[in-house]
Amino acid sequence: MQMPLDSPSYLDDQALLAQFAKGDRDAARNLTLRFTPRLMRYAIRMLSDRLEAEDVVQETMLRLWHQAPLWQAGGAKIETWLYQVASHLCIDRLRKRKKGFSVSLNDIDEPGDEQPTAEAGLMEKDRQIALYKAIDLLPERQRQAIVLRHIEDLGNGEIAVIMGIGIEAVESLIARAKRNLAAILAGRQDELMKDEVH
Amino acid sequence: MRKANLDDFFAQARSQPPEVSFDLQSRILSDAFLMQDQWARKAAPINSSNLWFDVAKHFFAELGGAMSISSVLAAALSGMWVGFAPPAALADVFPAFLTTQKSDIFDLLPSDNEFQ
Repeated sequence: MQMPLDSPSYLDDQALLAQFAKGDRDAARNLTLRFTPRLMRYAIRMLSDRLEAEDVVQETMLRLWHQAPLWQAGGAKIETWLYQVASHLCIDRLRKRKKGFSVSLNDIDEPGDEQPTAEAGLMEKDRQIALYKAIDLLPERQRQAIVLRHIEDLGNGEIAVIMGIGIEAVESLIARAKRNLAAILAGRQDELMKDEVH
Repeated sequence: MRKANLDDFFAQARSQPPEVSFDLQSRILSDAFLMQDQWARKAAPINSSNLWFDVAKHFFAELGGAMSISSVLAAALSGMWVGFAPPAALADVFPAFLTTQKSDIFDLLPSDNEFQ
């Protein structure tokens, strides 16, 4: 089936949001599908708690819906704005709770079917958990910077806008975060890399 | 740990975005549709030929709709009915309220005077 060119999935983010503000249900579905997976990944990595992350994603999208009729065309990038809102909500939650070591196996997605063997899949899962636990140990600003840069794959300029700091400060946070991560993971390196020698 | 290893970790994390549950998507879409419905109601044009009808409709809707209005009307009619045709048991009580009768004066603390 061929889709018409003005079908919401062909529109850019801002045009889609404008369609949403006019009452287009498909635009709402497309915006949800477009943004929620990345917001979810970011919130989970920031909070290490799936339920809390879901609340943050829902609240972030709710604020987008409220904002839709007021959105200035050609203004801020929607994705950047969403990460900014989600960041504030995550940091609020991190500050409110006295957080322990809360990453669990349930927070990590199951390996896909393309995994070569069950053993390799478990090893990969183990490596993911190690990374997430290490990220969880970083100070919140370093965690935010490293997740946005290396997991969400955003540029330093965009991260600077999201975090409300300069680009040099972002670079410094990322460098410190990587040093800290490397130090934390070094303790488990032999264990995690042993499958690579085989 | 080598930088290359750390980059492998990140690449692995990027390659597996978490699934968004159906429940979460439903909640988000429900918020979205609710918002669109609210905008649609606010934006509904008021037809000038039916202006009073539209104003009355909004007024009654603000008061709580048909159920609320019918309850208020029923209470008002009951009050009027009791006023015009009071039950026999209340027949002696009503004149006392409706006419100006001299009130009896009671001394609430009669023993007070004994000490004076």
